[in-house]
Amino acid sequence: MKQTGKAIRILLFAVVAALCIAGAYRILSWKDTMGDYLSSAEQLYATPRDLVDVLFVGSSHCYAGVNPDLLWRDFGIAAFDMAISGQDKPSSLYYTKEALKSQSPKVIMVDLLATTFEEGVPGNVYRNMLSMRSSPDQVRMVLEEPVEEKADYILKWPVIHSRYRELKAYDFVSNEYSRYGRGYCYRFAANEVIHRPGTESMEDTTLISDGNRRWVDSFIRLAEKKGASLHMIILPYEMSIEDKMIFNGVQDYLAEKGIPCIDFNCMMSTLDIRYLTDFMDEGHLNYYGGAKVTNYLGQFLRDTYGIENHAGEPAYAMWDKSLKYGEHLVAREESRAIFEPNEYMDLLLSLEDLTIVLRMDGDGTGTQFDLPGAVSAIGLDPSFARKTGIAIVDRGTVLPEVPRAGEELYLNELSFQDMLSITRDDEDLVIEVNGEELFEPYDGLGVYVYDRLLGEPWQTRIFY
Amino acid sequence: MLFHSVEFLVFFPVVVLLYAFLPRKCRALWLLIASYYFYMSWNAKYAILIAVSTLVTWSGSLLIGRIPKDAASESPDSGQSIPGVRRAVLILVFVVNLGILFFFKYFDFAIQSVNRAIGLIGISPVRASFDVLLPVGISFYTFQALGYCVDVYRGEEKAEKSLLRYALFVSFFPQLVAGPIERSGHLMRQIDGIEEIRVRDAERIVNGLILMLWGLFLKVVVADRVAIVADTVFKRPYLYGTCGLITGAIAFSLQIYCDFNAYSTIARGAARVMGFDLMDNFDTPYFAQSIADFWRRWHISLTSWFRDYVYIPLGGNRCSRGRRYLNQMITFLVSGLWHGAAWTYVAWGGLHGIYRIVGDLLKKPLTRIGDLMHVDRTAFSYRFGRIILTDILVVFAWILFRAESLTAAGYYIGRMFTRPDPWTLFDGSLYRLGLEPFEAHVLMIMLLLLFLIDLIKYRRNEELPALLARQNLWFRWAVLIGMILMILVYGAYGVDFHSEQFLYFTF
Repeated sequence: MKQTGKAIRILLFAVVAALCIAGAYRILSWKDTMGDYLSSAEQLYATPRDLVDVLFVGSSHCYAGVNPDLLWRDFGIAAFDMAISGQDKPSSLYYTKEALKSQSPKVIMVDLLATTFEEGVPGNVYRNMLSMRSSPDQVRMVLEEPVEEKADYILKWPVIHSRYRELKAYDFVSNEYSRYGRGYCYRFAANEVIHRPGTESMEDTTLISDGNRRWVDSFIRLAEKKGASLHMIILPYEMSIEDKMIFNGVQDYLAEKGIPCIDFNCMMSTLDIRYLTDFMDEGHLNYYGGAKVTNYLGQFLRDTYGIENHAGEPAYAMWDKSLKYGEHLVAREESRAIFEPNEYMDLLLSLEDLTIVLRMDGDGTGTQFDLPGAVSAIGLDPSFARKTGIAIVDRGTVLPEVPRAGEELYLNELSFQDMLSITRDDEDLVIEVNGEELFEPYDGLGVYVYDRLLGEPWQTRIFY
Repeated sequence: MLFHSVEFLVFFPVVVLLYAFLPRKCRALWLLIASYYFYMSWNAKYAILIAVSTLVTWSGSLLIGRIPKDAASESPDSGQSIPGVRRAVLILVFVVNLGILFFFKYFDFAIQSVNRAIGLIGISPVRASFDVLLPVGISFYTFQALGYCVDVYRGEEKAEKSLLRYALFVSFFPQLVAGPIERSGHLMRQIDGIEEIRVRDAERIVNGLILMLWGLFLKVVVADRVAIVADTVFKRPYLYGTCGLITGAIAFSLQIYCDFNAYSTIARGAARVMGFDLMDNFDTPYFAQSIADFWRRWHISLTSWFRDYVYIPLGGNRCSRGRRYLNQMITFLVSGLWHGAAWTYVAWGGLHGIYRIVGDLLKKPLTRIGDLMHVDRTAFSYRFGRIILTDILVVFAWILFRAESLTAAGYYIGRMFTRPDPWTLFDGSLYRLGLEPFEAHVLMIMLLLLFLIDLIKYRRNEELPALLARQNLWFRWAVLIGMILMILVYGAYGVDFHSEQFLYFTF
């Protein structure tokens, strides 16, 4: 009896300890929180079974160049970017296998950039190996990666435990976008790329390496086994001569095997991709460049593979949500270039999930804009723009006076992390988010927009 | 195979499980195999050395044991006295073992020292040099084996007839590479009774595991973290003033204590899990009230080894004061040299020797002054003052131990006394000694925890397992799970960290 009691206690201790360790692992595990180290693995795992029709596989070139949200909006194609920064050969192969465990895409499009990687960059290796769930395939992938501490990466804990130094809110509260994003990374910055003409038309070839041949063969076998069409792509970037020669060699081999390949670097003028405005940097397209590539791919997929249009089907709600998220990001970006309050308000009106805080200072007579017209566009009385005051439009509803007469404080929880507060300071009202004051008193209309879908504010604007 | 490695995490449970379920007769053999595998995981070739050492000391002690100790007996053939033969065998055993130790550990140092000396008088240097890797733990098992031979020689222990059991005594894996240096009267007897050990004793196993956990905590959470501060300061002392250099010296003092204590604690815990009791190597040394007291608490197994096999044979205390001081100085110098083949270690040992001698010389005058000033020797302030003074002396000596060379130590000490910068205590400079503020705070909390545990041990002479055993279940579990999580999360290991090897492996 005594022995049994001891055994139960030991067992119970082991269970409690295991639960605590599991909880700690959940917090410390590497997550993609739309930072610089993007991996769409979490988004893949969140996708219900057998919905993806087109699977794009690649590195940052992929998540910058192919926008599944636009494929959905314009063609109703259910696509997914299985993309991780610096995705090398083992990673792209095993992540494709991982995706095929739950999805049955009709077409798999693989970016050939991985064929130019000969060595794993530690940072890339880190995110490629940590974002896949533990499984025999994860072990195989780590074993094939050019890293020394294989056991550490297989166990993961020895790598991720030191993340206690960098924990953020998203390590405790899951990032919503990771639950429905389709793998794309929105980046709007435009930086001119100095193009070296002629590289894309070079015919010099580096004979395909054994590693690249094995990699291509593995993809061919995998696609055949899963009954998917394999199509290789080379997404636009300012490629080196060495890379081009490798691509030529690989493309020769693909031709031998009857695998089609699109080299977008040879289609820059056809697609009107501009080096001045469509690149974020030498290696990556920005949103606008990606939109051009995506548009071409949408037509190509529809015409060549007859990919079905699933628009409006409830099962694909995830694609709708991801598109909506993207539209908010695009709207926020485009709002920066709007200087007319009416136009700005029209843009706000087109979106849901916004909390708009307006502060009017003065009577608006000194401004060049039609402020009464602008505020009435979003449902406020035009007289608001004629006297000092505050108004809030929360998700399409104009709130009554805040704070109410006799109240000192108004609170609005914008998100788990962000709190809007308005306090009465003598005669004046102070508007703050997380204790930071939003507006300095200025003759004109101040507009603060909090995007609840993005969980972030837009740029504060003052029209005067 | 380090104690805090994944390999050991697999190795140890496998060894224990098989040990627990194998027939009793096979236990010694199984532990011997496991111990050799453990040792060979560093460098398989060096197993030959430990095997040679084992064979030489085993056969030597057997021989010594067979020759009667009685001085009246005479060998009828040679005419040589029997004690003489016994002594000759003992000397031979010492020569072979110390010869191996000298070759692998001190040969290059000796050549370099000779070259430096003859270079001073213009003679060209000797070119002989062997770039050999120091076999892990060679100083420990050599001393353990030699101690056993002396015990047999003195008639304090019987010579072990079973080579298997003796080989296990020399190579017992928990304490093989960094001690504690066990005495035959303690460990050998336990090995002799290995078949009688109650292997499946849950309470003892849990106690052992708690010790291992505490050792791991000391190593990967405290020692490896505080090591960053010590390494930062000692690597570039010219960047720091008095406060930074003192912090660096204190950091190293804590590092070496936590590191070495960690190893000994894990070793004791691992042995306890298997039913063996190893001696406690550290008894809150930084609570010592004098240098003599410090050496009763620091690396106890080595200190007692030197006391019994070096200091006492030299004459110990039973001689004139001058001779006693000489004996003490020799013992400390040899002890310093044991720690490493460098003059810094010798100087460190010498400094402790000086501390002891000066302390002894000042004892009477200080007592007289104390009496005149009506100092209350029972007051906390008196004891506290003694502890602080002892720690200052010990920390100062550690500078010699840690420095790359005597010149570097001289520079460090010189700068420490000539660059007062008290403002660095207030302007955040101490947060720039290699640890980010967050890491520094983690370290401070962990050191506070260590201080509390040591304080309890100092006041109540009670170790962590015994302390926990008296607490309620929820508290025990909370402490243990907390420790597991702290080791797993805050431990310096894995890709991001390169956990240092236990410092004492190199000695």
